[in-house]
Amino acid sequence: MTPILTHKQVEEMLPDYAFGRLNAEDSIEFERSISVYPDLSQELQDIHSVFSKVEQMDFNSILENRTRNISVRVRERLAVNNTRNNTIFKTFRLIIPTLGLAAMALFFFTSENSPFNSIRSKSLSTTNIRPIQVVSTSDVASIFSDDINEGALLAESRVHQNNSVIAFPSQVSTTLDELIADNLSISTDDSDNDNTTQKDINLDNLNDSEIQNLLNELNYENPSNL
Amino acid sequence: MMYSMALALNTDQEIINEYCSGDSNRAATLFVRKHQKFVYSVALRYLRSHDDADDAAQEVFIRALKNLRSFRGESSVQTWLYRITINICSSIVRKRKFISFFTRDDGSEIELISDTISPQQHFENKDFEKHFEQMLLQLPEKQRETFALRYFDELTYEEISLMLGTSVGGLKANYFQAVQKLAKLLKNSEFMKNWGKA
Repeated sequence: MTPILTHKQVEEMLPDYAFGRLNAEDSIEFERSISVYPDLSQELQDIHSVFSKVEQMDFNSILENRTRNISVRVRERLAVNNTRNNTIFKTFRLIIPTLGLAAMALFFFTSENSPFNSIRSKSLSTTNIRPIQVVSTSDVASIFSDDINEGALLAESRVHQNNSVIAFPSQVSTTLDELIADNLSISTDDSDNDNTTQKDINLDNLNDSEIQNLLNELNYENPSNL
Repeated sequence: MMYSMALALNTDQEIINEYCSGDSNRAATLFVRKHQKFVYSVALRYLRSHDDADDAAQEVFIRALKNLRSFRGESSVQTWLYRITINICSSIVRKRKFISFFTRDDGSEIELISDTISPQQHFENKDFEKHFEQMLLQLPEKQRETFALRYFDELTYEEISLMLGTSVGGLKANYFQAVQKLAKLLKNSEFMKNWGKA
């Protein structure tokens, strides 16, 4: 009879057969094959005789005794860990936002580039602006020649009696601003060096003749160039 | 009561689902009870000390339960626990070596007698345990681990293959050699010759 299983296959199945862990089909196949290999038959007998004594030992109950309280101790340790983690988490949950807010507040009040400081400086600089857009009504005709319709110009202008400010149509106003800004420079005596500095002039305080002189000083001869 | 609950939730997936969505305390208890013997025996083989194995087993379950929600099921729970156990045991062995380097600890273990079994039974079991352990220690590590996982833990070759990273054919050969050697060692030992005579 030709064995179904090789020597190696029977060898590999031998321990499981000896300990009763082969299924019925494999067991029948094993039993049919092992009789052909006397060395393995002898091995099987030795294993049976020795391990029959070993298997009297109830390793399961030994382990059961050793491990009976592990689940309780694990739960206790987990509870302790969770409590500790919660405390740490709560602490950090309060500390981190507080530190963040403190840092932001510090930044707002101390940094030169902070938005808070830029708003403050902007408001300070805004108060120093003094617009040069003041021309007496009577000078309008002398400034502008026939190229500009004087009547229309005057009709469009608004005279603010309280502060003597005249608002010209946008074309004229812009040209006038550019003219004055490009040419007007007044040297200041209080400067420490000889450099002349550009200075804003408040024309509110000038009378008509002073403004006329100012325009003459600018060598304004041909208004048509406007 | 606990066993009835264990019957109600008998698969790992059911226990994990319960742990993630329901009563985590109950599921944690079931999870530990289901795998404690396996984890403990692996740790004991690795550490050879019941106290250390006990500590290691607790550590394994704490780590496992903390990560149970992220367990993706790519391997079996037992394989996953085996890897955790080996990692923790390796860490304990490293610490133990470091401590013994400074304290000259001889590694001897003091054991307490369990109060649930009779002293006579305890010493019989104790003697056999020690004798069998000595026999096991004479096996190469791979054979010893294969034998333990197959014989004591009754895992399939496929599961052991995933744990140890050895082919199924190699494991079968290892298992046969381990059983063969143990049989010879036990057969020739004085302890086995006197077994049952006392």
